[in-house]
Amino acid sequence: MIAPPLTLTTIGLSIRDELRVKSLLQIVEGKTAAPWIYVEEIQADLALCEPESALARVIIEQSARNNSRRCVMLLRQGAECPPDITCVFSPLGVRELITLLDGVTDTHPAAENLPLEHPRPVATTSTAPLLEHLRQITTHADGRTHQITNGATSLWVLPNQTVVLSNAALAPEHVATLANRGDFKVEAFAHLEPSVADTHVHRCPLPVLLWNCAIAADTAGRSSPPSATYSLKRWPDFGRFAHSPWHLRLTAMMIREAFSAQQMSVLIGQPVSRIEAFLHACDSIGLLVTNLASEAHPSNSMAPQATERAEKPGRWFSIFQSFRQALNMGGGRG
Amino acid sequence: MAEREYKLIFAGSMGAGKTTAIAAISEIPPVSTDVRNTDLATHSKATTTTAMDYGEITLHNGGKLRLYGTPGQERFDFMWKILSRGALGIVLLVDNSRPDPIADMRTYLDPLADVIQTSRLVVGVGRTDSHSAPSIDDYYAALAVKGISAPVFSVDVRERAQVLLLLDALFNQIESAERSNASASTILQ
Repeated sequence: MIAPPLTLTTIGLSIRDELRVKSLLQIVEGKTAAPWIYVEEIQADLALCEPESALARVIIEQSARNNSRRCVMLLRQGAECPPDITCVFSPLGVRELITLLDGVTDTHPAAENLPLEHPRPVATTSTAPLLEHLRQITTHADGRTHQITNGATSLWVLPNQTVVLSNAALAPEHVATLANRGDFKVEAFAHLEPSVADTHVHRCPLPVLLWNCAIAADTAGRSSPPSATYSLKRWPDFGRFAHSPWHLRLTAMMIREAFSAQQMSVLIGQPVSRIEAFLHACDSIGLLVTNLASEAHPSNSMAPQATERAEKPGRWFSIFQSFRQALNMGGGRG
Repeated sequence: MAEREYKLIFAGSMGAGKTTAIAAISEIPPVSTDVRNTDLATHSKATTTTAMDYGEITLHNGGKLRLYGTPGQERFDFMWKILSRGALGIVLLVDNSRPDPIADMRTYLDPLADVIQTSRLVVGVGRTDSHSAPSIDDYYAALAVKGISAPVFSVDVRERAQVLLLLDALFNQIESAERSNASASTILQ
């Protein structure tokens, strides 16, 4: 089995330049040291960027921090290349593109380390819940595709593309059933068999499955330490994740201050088990910040005052309640 | 504006879905100032808003929640400030299929800064199913550069529930900010 292709994308380029890059990539197929494909994903191995693009600037900053992502500026002839940035000049030619791609291949860690043949698939059967399997695949990802089966349900997890293919629609209700089952068979594969696409037609972003699984999973036996407080790095993408109105209220509080699970339970009026499920869901997508008492986080000493404050309805409370009533929204205090 | 009247602003580039979002929740047919789109280079839609869109919701106490959509084209940017005066909050809609949607978002951050500064912003990103880049993380990174903390969601504003999600997040964000600010004032005193 051959190593997966490297990925190229464009950011902020004009449609004309983007089409040119795509066409050139087809022309150079078979002529580069490693195979390349074009993707519409920002996490590509190489991004050709428009210098004025705000997104390109963000990627360059991330690239500098992580030393991982590659952003090459596509400049007009005569333009000056900024320091510490790799640049190529428009119009890009076949020779320049091959040099550029092979330059990335030479220094790409995956290309250096990836064996041409992956080991044979290894199957394991476990009573661990689905969430644990998904977390293991994502946190210990070696880039390999995994198939998870339970009864008639079959999932193909593609960690590199953060996507799950399934033979059944992964509606939140179905995921909730799966989340509390055991006996999952897990197999690792070097690549996706072409026939899988015929039978697994349902596509779900991996973070959505992780979230929906965690929010529905039984949290018995996984209670958080009473001394621990929790906050959030940012809002979960509730546009895609299953949620209840109280999740929004809790998130707005956790963005600003840290609370213990017990405090949240009192403030939101939900059982601790549901709060724990929400915390697990946030943790599963990397948004949860845990502060243990031993770390002497300032919020620990402020937590009682924070609880008292959060319980008091503010001046907006009645106004927003009237909006919610008029709009038939289920939000507000739980 | 009389008492018990509140104003919400729907902003965003041309084709981002402002008119659609207002139509999804307004109790009256939205009043639009749409004209034939002569800026086909920017977006291929047939019509575009030149002054504003308007919708409204009657509150149970007789008050009104007024919904205003800003014109999408930058040449009407003088309208953005006029409309946002006294606004409760901003729902900023972005179309992820545009060439540089993060630049689109940034276009609105400075002109609407007076309202945004007080945590009164929520960002809805459309067409993420067909265009996965930039990611939601990239939007947060771009907002962080400006020192702005606001919820960012993938949404389809043709669905009323998704528009309500944006509003609920905005309301919760404002309430939470108020509590934190009240706390900071107490500590400073």
